[in-house]
Amino acid sequence: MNAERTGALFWLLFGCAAIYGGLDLELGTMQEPGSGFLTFVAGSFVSCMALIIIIQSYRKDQTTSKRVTDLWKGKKWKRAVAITFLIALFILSFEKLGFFVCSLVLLIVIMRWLEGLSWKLCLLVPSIAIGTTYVVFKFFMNISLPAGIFGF
Amino acid sequence: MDFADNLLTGLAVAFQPHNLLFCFIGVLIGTLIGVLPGLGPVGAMSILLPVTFGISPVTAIIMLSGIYYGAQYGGSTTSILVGIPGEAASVVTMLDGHQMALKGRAGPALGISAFGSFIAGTLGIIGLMLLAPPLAAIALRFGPPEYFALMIMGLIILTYLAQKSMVKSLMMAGVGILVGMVGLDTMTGMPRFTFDIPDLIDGIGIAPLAMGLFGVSEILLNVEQTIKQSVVVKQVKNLLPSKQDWKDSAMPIARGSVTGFCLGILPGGGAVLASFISYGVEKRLSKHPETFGHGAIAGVAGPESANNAAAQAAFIPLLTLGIPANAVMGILLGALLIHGITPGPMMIENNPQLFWGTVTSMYVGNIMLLVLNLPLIGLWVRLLKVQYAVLFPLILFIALIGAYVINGSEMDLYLMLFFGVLGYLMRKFEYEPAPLILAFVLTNILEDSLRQSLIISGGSMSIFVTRPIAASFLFISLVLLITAVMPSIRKKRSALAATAAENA
Amino acid sequence: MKIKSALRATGVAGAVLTSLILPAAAQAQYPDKPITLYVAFAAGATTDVTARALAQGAEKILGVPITVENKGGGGATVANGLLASKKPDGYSLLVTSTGSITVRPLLMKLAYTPKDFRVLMQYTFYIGGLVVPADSPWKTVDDFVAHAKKNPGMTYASSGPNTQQQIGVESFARCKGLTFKHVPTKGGSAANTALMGKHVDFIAGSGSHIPLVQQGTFRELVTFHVDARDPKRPDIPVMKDIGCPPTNPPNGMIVIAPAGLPDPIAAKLTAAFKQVSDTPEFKKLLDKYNLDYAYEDGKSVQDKFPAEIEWYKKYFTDAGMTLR
Repeated sequence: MNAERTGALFWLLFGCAAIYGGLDLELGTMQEPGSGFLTFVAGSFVSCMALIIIIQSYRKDQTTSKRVTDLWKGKKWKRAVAITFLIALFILSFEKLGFFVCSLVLLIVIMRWLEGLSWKLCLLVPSIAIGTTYVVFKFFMNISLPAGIFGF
Repeated sequence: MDFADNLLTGLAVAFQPHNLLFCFIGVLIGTLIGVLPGLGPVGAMSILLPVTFGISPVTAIIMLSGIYYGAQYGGSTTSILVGIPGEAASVVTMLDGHQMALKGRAGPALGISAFGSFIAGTLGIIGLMLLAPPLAAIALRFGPPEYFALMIMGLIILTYLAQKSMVKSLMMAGVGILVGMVGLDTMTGMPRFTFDIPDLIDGIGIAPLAMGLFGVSEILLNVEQTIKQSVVVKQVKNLLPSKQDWKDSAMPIARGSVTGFCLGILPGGGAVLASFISYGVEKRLSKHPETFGHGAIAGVAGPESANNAAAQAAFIPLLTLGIPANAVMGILLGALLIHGITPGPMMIENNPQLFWGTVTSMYVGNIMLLVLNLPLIGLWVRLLKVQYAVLFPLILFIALIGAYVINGSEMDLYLMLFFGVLGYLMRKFEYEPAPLILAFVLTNILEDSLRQSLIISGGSMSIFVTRPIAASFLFISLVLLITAVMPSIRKKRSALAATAAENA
Repeated sequence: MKIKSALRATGVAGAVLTSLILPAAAQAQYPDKPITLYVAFAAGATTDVTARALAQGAEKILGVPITVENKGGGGATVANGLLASKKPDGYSLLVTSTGSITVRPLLMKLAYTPKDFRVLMQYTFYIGGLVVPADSPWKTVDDFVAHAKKNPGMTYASSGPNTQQQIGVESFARCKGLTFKHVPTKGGSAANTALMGKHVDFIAGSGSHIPLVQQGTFRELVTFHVDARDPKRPDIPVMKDIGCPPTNPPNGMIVIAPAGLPDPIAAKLTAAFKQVSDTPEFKKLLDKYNLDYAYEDGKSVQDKFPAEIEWYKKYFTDAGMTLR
C-alpha cells in the first residue's frame, strides 16, 4: 500500500469524524456561533488537505513512491512496540503498585532485557535515579507519589 | 517621585539580605522546575505559597516571581538536550535547539539560550520600568476582535514553520485545532468530546501533548534504529557560542525581545505565541532559511529571547491593572491579596516599594540565573555523552513522573503515551508535529474570541475591519499569506513559461 | 472438660466484647491518622487559601496532620467526582462550592449526584452584582434600567455560562423586563479585563470585582444574592430594594465528606472547623477577599439542597434549556 495515501486516508477519516462531530454539536447562527462551528470548519479543512495529498500522490512517480512497509524496512520496530507495551504496563499499575515498584521494574526491564546492559548498571542507575527523584519530589516539593498496595 | 528615586528605592529593597536570599531560592527552584519536564512554575508556586504567609509581601513576590522566570531558563535546557519540551513555550526552542545538540553543538545552543534569555529579560525589565502604564492601557484595547485577528496572524505564521510539505503542515494545524476542541466549551459551559471522562473536562494538557508528540515519539524512533551510534552525540566542539554564533544571533535576540515583550503584555497572549512568531520572523528574514529546523542558531536565539521577554512583560497587567495575564500571575494575585495588598490601577501608587523592589530584584534574579546556568552547560553537555541505552530509559522515566505530578492524574500519562505513538507514526509518514502543537495552543483563544466578537457585533463580521487594531493584524496576516504563497506561484509561472518556450 | 468449656466460654465472651468495643473504640479514637483535605480549585485561588487556613487551624484541634491537595478542574466537578469515590471514614474531605453540587448535575453528566455527599459546614458564599465602569453615565441602577429599556441587547461578560453570578444577572433582567447579550469569558479576571477595556457594557461581578470597585475603577449598581445591604457599602441597593424577588441561591463554599459518614465523626469535624472559622484571624482572611463570614451548619445547608435544585430546574426550564 502506498505510504502517502494510507497516511492521508487516516487523516481524511479523522477529518470526516470531526465534520460529523461538529454538525452534531450544532453550527449555530452568525449571531451566536455554536459549539460545533470551529470543529466543522477545521474538520472540513483537514479533509480537504487530505484529499489534496491523495490526489498529489497519484501524480507522483509511482515506481519511486514509498510503500507502507518501506517505512519500517531495516528498523527494529519490535523494540518500539516493546517499549510502548512496557510504558502502558507502567501506567496501568502506577497507582496500584506504587511509584517505587513500577519505576524499578520499568527501568530494569528496559535496561536489562531490551538493551542488554550489565546487571551492575541495571541496578545502580535506576536506584540512583529513583532515589533522587523521590527525595526531590517528596522532601523539596512535598508532592506525593503513589504508594500502592505495598505501602511504599 | 521621579524615575531615579524609584530606581533607588527599588535597589534598596532588592539588596536587602533576606530579599536577596529569597530571590536566589526562587530562581534556583524555578530552574529545577523548568528542567523537569511536565511540572511547571504554577505547580511549584502553589506548593510554596503557604511558605510565603510568614514573610513580607515584597519578599514573597520576589521569590514567587523568581520561580516563574527561572523556570523559563530551565525549560530550554531539557528542550535542547533531550528534545522534550516541558511546556508550550519550550517547543519552538526545541525545534532547532535539539538539532544543534545532536550535531554536537549543545554548548553553543545552551549558551545562546542563556545569554539571549538574560538580555531579553533585562530589556523586558527596562520596558516594564519605563513603559508599564502606557503599555497597560494599550493592552486593554485588545478585546475579542483583536485577539481573533492576532490568532489568525499566528496561524499564518505557522505556515512559515513548514519544512517539507506545506499541505501536510497546514493539515497538522487543522488537526491541532481539533485536538484543542476537547474539553469544556467556554461559551456554553458544556463538555465537548470528553466521552464522559472526567479527567478530560479541562481538555488535553499541553505538557502531556508536547512531551508525547516530541519526546516519547523521538525515543520510539531512536529505539528502532539499528545503528546505536546514530543517536550518540558527535564530538562536542566547544562549550560556548562562537563569534559567528553571536553575529548570527544578535538581531534575532533583539527582535525576539521586542516581539516577546509586546505579546507578553496581552492577558492570555504570551510566551508561546511570541516564541513562534519570533521563529517565523527569523526564518523569513534569514539568508539561509533552509537551515531552520536543522540547527540554525537564530532559531534558538530569537524564540528564547521572545519567551523570556514575554515572561517579564506578563507582570505588567498584574502590577498596573490587577489583571493576571496567565495562571502564574493568578497565583501572584492570590499572594498579594493574602498579604493585604489590593491589586489594581492604584497598586503602584499605594505600594511603590513593592513594585520597584520587585522590578529591581528581577535584574538581580536574571544575573543570578545567568551565573547559575552558564557553568551548568559543561555538566549538561557531559550528560549527553552517556550511552543512549542508559540515557533514554532515564529520560522516559523523568518524563513519565513529570507528566504525572502536574495533576496527579493517570490520564495525563495515557495521553502522553497516546500522543507519543501518534507522533511516532506521524513522523514516519512525514507529518510534522510542530504545527499541531502550535495550532493547539492558539485554538482556545481563537475560538472564544471569534464567538465573543460575533455575539458583541450581533453576527456581523464587520467588527473585525472597523476596529483599527484588529483590522491591522488581519491586513498583516493577508500580506504574510500572500508573501508566503507568492514564491511558489512565481516558480510555477516560470516553469510554465519555460515549458511554453520549449514547446514553441 | 470443665477447663476446656470454661476456656471456650471465655473466648467467646472475649470475642463478643471485643467486637462491641472495637468499633466504638475506633470511633472514639478518630482521627488516628492524617486526613486529606482536597480543594476543588487551583492553588492560590480564594477557596484554596481559605481552605488551607481551615486545615491549619483544625490540625491543632484534631491532633493529626491535615494535608491539603488541590484537585482543580471542570469548575469543581473533577474533585467532587473524586470525593464521591472515597470511603466515608472521615479521612477524605473536600472544600468545594454548592453550585457544583446542585447546579452542574442538572446540566451535564457527572460522576456524582448531590446524594453522594454529606455537607459538614459552610463558611461563606460568593456575592454577585451588576458592575459597570466607573466613568459610565449610569450612576444608579434606575439610570441603568432606563437606558437598557431603550437599548435592548446590551452586552455583558461573566465568568462563565450558568454560573450563579450570571444567573443573577438574568434574574435581574427577567424582573425588569430587559434583554441582554451574554458574552461568556474564561473567568472573573477575563470579565474584569473586558470591562476595563470597555469591550462590553457591564459585567456579572463574581467577587473579584470588589477590589476594583473599592479602588474606583468600577461601580456596582446592585448586589445580588443577599437580602440586606452591605454595611460597608450602604449606597448599593439589593434586589429587594429595587422591587425584585431575591435572586438565585448563591454559591457557597462548603466542606464536605462522602455520604454515609458516621454522625460522631461528622460532629467532631464540624465542631473543629467551626472553631477555626469562628476565630478573628479567619474572619480577617475572609475580609481580605471581601467575603462575609456566613457560617452555616452542614445539616441546614444540605436540607436546603432540594429547594435549591428545584429553583434551578425551574430556571433552566424557563430559559428553554434541556435538563439531564
